[in-house]
Amino acid sequence: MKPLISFLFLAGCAAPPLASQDAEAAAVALLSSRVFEPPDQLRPWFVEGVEPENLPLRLVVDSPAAYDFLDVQRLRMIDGRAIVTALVALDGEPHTLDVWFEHRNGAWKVAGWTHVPHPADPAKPAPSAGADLPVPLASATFRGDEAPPALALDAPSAPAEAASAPVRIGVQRPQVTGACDAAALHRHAKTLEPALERCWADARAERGGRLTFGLDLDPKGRPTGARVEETTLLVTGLGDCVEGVVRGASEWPAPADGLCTVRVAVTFTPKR
Amino acid sequence: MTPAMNAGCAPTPARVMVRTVSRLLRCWLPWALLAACSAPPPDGLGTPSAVVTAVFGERFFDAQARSAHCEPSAAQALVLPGLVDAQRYQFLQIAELRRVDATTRAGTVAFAVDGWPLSIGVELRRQGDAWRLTAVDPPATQRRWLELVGALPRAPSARPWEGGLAGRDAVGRPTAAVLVVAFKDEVAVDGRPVAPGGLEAAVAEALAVRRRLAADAHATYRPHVALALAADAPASRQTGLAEAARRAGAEAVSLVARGAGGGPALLALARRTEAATADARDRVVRLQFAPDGVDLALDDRTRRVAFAGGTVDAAGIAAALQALTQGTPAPAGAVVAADGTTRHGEVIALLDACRAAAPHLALLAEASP
Repeated sequence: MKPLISFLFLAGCAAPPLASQDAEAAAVALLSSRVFEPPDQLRPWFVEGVEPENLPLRLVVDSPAAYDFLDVQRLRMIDGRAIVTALVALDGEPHTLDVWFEHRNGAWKVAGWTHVPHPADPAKPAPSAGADLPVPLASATFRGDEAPPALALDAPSAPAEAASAPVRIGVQRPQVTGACDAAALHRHAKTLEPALERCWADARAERGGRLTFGLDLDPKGRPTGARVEETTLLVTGLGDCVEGVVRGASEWPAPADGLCTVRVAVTFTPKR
Repeated sequence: MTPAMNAGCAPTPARVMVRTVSRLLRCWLPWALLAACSAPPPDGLGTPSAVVTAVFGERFFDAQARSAHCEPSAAQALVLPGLVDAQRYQFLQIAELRRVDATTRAGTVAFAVDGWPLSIGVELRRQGDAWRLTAVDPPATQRRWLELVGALPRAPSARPWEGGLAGRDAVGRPTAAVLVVAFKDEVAVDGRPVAPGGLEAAVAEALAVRRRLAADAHATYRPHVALALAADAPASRQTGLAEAARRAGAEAVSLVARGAGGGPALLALARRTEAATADARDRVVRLQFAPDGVDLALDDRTRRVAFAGGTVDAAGIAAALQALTQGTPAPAGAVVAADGTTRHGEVIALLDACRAAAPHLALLAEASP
């Protein structure tokens, strides 16, 4: 009786039933000690049609001694599949390789893999994969994404010069009070030039001039106050329009610490 | 054997019991051993994924069961079970668990509330042979996700969408559209917060990942960004984000809304192109908010639709569209102009009313000139 018990004990411990494990445990069990078993023994660990002898880990090292499973680098579940990024040593060098598992007949089984292991640094935390995923699983992501309809709205006139706004905008470097990055604010203010051009055109201004606006930013970079502080352009509507543009411009660079007040001078030079 | 001889061996109750136990042991010991060595650790938490499933799965609303796998600080920080009920919550899957070091994993767990795929950040650490949940996203973050789901604008005519607010669909697949969520002070791209000023770079990077994937998979791909904002957000924020998305390379921009059943839906915006000549310009209905209603204009005709109870009157918009287009070729699109006081929800309501009344119309929302 004792030999029989011992045999059953060994047999049971040597072949953990896949059904009792989660995907990660199945991956660790397979990749840590079974990769180089004969294909016939490995076949129950693979879905039908996926051949164990083609597992890249069996092909890229000369002998089992040159392979070592280190850890699971990343686990993701996509469409019912468990995508395991295995951290392994190949000839002593750490690499990662994606192997994915599917739940078939109550067990997690290997359903595919990426063919090329990538060098890795086990000392560094694994970065988030974001939207990246193994290429064989990627095509479904893009299925059914429709092209947007187009609307042709602008009617450019023949000469390119005439099509542009009849005024040249010059945004001067801001004067700042508080913990603001003047250069970053300057870059952001320059993105408002097209809107400022429209303000000048809509106000039917004819002469050039200078307008200085003030802007208060909260710690998040949101305008809490915007006003025209001085202007040489006494044209109805222009000041209101500029204030609206400045107040409506989202995401000004946030002050490094606390509040910030900005003064920006803008010059309007008619193109003639 | 005589009865006398047999009497000494007569089975006493104690002997019967010993024999029964012995037989049972002989029969069942191998199986018991087999089960013992093949089963997961006694607490079933030998892997991080087992812990995540135990905490966020079927027994999510059982505080005692949850806390068995959580550090006290994590159990306290996990406020989500108190914010939703079992009818609204659904555990989806492990979105990602990453190795930080040999004893630490970090990542995100996907779940759905009211059919909206969401995610929560988690951290797990190994203690001996078992893993435990040691941290989750702060309570404010958990509340914010739920708040946003309730605050999204409604658009019953919008196309149902598989995506959610974390850049993935319900089965964990990244959505074709890069998802930009702007809620209160936070902006996130594909579920990851973005630092102020970093939006365009983050969107460009997310588009680049999809472009490469699509190329490798030989799939057709159009750079697409979906914008999710609360209904009460300024419309200028939406138009600003749309412009930023286009500068980052997006060809298509869509607006995330609650569809007919309250689930995820997309309103696709048209791509604005420049007409080669004035004659090539598409005829569009222009919609502009007025103090007490909405002005619709097509060619030289206009109609005003008064607000119904302070909100957009969808039936009135439909009637005005019909009146404007009667006897003329069908317009190609509808363009909503949003000024500084317009709310995102109002723009969506107008777009939705146009889509419901005339499904062929290409829709566009722009900042008021």
